[in-house]
Order: sequence, then structure tokens, then C-alpha cells
Amino acid sequence: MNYRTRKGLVPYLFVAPNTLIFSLFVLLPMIYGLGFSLFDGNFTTGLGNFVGLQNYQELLQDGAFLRALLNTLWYVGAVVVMVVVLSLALALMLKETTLASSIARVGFYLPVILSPVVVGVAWRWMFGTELGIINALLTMTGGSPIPWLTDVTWARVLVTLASVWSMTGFYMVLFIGGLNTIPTDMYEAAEVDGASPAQRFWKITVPLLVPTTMLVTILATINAFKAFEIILVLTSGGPGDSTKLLVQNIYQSAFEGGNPSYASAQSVVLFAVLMLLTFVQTRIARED
Amino acid sequence: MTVPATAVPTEAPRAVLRRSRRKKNPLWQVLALLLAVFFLLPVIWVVLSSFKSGAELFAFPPTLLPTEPTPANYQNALTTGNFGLYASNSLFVAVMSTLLALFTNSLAAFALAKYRFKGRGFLFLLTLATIMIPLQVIMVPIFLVLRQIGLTDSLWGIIIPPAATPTGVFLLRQYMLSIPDEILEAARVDGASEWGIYWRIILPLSIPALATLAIFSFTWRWNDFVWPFIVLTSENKSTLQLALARLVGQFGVDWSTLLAATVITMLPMLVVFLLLQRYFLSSTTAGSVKG
Repeated sequence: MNYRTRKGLVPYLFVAPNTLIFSLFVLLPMIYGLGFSLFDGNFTTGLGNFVGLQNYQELLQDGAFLRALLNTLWYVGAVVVMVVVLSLALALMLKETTLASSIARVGFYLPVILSPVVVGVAWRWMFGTELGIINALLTMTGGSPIPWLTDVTWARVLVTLASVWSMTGFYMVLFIGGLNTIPTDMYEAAEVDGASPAQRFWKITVPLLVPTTMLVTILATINAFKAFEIILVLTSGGPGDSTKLLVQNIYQSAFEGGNPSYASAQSVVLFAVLMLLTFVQTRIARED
Repeated sequence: MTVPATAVPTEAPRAVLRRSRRKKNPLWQVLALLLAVFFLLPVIWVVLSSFKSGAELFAFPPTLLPTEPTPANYQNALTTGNFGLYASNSLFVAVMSTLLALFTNSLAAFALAKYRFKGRGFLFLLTLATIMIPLQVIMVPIFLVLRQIGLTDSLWGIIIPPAATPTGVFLLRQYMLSIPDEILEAARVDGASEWGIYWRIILPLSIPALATLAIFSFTWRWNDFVWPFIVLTSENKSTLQLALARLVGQFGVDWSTLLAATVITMLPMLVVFLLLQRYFLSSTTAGSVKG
């Protein structure tokens, strides 16, 4: 091997380890999953017979799957809206760097570094029906305890709030970054021209924050679609399957129901929905 | 719109505005701090509760601070609850996976930043595209792949697969682009090998970016639940997250052990975060890193 070809190989050797791991554990599974969804395989016999789109047809009539899909869409919608509003509000409150706002930022960010399991445990400890501090306080102040985790509506609310709580700090940081790119001159000029704080917010802050808001919306959407652990710990998907989302349904189909083909078909649907939403969101951002 | 004349003083309005902007409202600052404390109540309450005795934990009316703080719950969690073993499993996984990610990602980033070769553009696009794909989408086929190569129920099964983080490659490549090519050329003239250039020049110069990736990678792997959940079955190979979820899934949750175990699980992250918060709170790294 002469010097030239050896040098030509060098970059390929450098990317090789990463590409190998990546191909084996990301690319291959993606293709594998897509293929598997067209078969009627299981964990013992492997692929099984080719059944075409039969798994997908079954999904259309599967009440449990459709409920999980609907739950997921509601959950993602609620989480994303609340995360965007709350993280923007926090960013507006804390955008100026003072000692107090720096400390407050650390506080609001802290839940982001906690694992979702820890988040679930902490919220369950607060909102437990019998042992939770919230119900104890309600009882002490003359109210009656609320079945936070066993009532359909309250369970959905709580699961959403816990998720929002765990993500907001991350997006607050992105919004603070976005706010700091808006030149202060613009606000000062608007103030001199007599614009009210509300006008300054709607006419300067909001339009100039569109790129950041788009980024936050897309990242929060992807993040919300992944939700699994917080809900598993808080309600295990219950009561009934009122808080069961797609990821949990996929897990159960595959590992509890022993039907990886059917689970793969659901994964493909989840992936398609995710890609579609990301695509639509980027398109909206471009038109603005 | 008419503006009252008093609102805009004619002499040097800018100076007036600057002064008003600089004057921070102390009430507002206090409010922000109070809100942050309120926001953290779930964490604070877990920590306070973990030091209470079993009887006090379930007493009504509840006490705010532990009347007789006791480490008994922690002793229980570490010995009978086996959380010492789970903690060492978690530490092993997080450290090994982070080292592996730093090594493979920096190699790939170096090639993508500093060499021209066929397929470079494609590889980089692929990296960008997969940043958006959550593991949850491919968890079933990943399990099948792992089973085929015999990595299920092994800690290596959760160490190796997530090591090729696309965000890591992206972050390091962006940083390495800022290292001038002249340095590499000079080293080549002096007879350095390509590996030598990577090992002795690129890596030391990339330490800030490597540190950022290390912190995030450690956080992701320490907090990971889905990987261990699908890969591990043996109880003695559990990570902390897995053991916590198992404890909370039991009928009749053992809260005194669970609360101490929860604090043990979040403690390393709290220390890392409080020491290195500027990495987490910088919007430039936050924008490019999310795993």
C-alpha cells in the first residue's frame, strides 16, 4: 500500500467505530423494524410469515391502540402549549442577569437534570391519595382529599403537569438565549416613541422570537412523544388506560404481549406522526 | 397615538431610560426567588421526607421538617434494598458509556471536520437527521439486534449502543472546525502521523467541547431508563433508575426505602449540576445538545 492510498483510508478509519455502532444500533434497527412490521413474527420463531399490511389494518380497528394514539395527541398538545407559554414567561421574568435571577434560573432548570423516574416518584409522593402532602393539606384546611392518581381527569392533569415541570427549565434557557439576541436599542426606541409594554411585547418580542419558538415547539413535541417513564411511575397508564400513551402501548405489545411485529407497526406509525409534525412545523416556520 | 409630554423628557431621554432600566425592582427579584423555591417543592419535600422515621413519615398532621432526622432510611436502602450495588452498576454504565462516546464521537468529528473524503457530506447529513429520532421509536428492533449478538441482560448492552450519539458528533465537529488547519499542516511537516495529530493536537485543543459532551453524556446515561428497561432482566444488574421504578411498581410501596433511594439516585446529578451549571444554562450548548 503506497502513501497515497493509506492517507485516503485515514478518514474512513476515523469514522469507522462511530459509524459501526451507529449502523448496528440505529440504522439497522430502523430498517429491521420497518421490515418486521410486515411479518407476523414473534420472539421465539423470528420473522415468521410475510403478511403485508395486515398489522397496520389491525391497528385501525384496535381500540387500545387508537385510545393510546388519541391520549398521546392530547397529551403532546397540552404539554407543548404549556411548556412554550411557561418557559417564555419564565424567560421574560429572568432574562436580565442579576444575582437573584441567576439563582432562580438554577432552580427552574434543576428538574431538567432529574431522571424521569425520580420526577415520577417525587410527584407521586406529593400527590398520593392517602399519604400525599397535598391531600393532607386539603384535609387540614377543611377540604376533602382528591383521588389525584385514580380519577381519570385528575390523573391526566397530573401526568401533564409533572411532564411540563420536568421540561420547562430547558426551554426557558433557549428562550433567554433568544431574548438576548434582540437588540435593547429596539426597546429603547419604541419606548421613546411611546409604545406601551404590551405593544413592545407583541410588536418586537413576539415577531423576533419566532425562530426560537419554532425550535422550542419542535424539540418539545419530540420530547413529549417520547413520554413513558414519568407516567409509568405515576399511574402505570391508569386508571383503566386513560393515561396510557403510544410508547407504553408499544412496549406492552412487544414485551408483555409477545408480538414484536405488531409493536413494530405501531412504532412505524409513531415515527410517521413525529416526522409529519416536524415537517409541518418547519414549513410553518419557513412561511413566517 | 398621543404621548403625554411628561412621559418623554426632552432633555436626554436615553439617559433617563438607561437609569430606569438599571434600577432593578427588589420586589420582583424576591418574587422570582420565591417562585423558584415553590417550583422546587417536589424535590425539597422528597429530601426532607427521606430523613424522617417511618412513623413520622405517615403521621397526620404531617411535619414540615424531620423532628428527629435519621439516616436509617439510607442505611436500609443501601444494605437491604441493595441500592449500593445498583449505584455501582449505574456509575459503571455512565462512566464507560461516556468514555466510549467521547472516543468514537471525537474520532468521527475529527474526520468530518478536517478531511475531505467521499461520503463525508452524506455521513454528516445522516448524523443531523438522526438527532431527531428518539430511541423509543426503535426499541423493539434494537432489542432483537442485541439479542442476536448476545448483549441482552449485560451492562455492555446499555453501554455500547447509545455511544454513537449524533449530538456528540455534531457538537465536537462544530468545535473542531474552529481549530486552524495550519496547526495540522505544521505538525504533518514535522512528521506527525494522522493518529498523532488527533491524539496530541486535536484532542487537547477540544477539551472545552469534550467536557461539555462528557457532562451531558454522563447525565443522559445516569438518568436512562428505557435502555436498561428493555435490555436488563437480572435483578443484580439493575441500574438505580430500574430499581427505583421496580420499587414504586410494587403493591404497597415501601416509601421509607424508596425516598432514600430516590435521593441517592438524584444526588450525583445535583452535585454535577450545581458545580457545572454554566454548561447547562448556556443557551449555545443547550440549543445543540439534547439527548
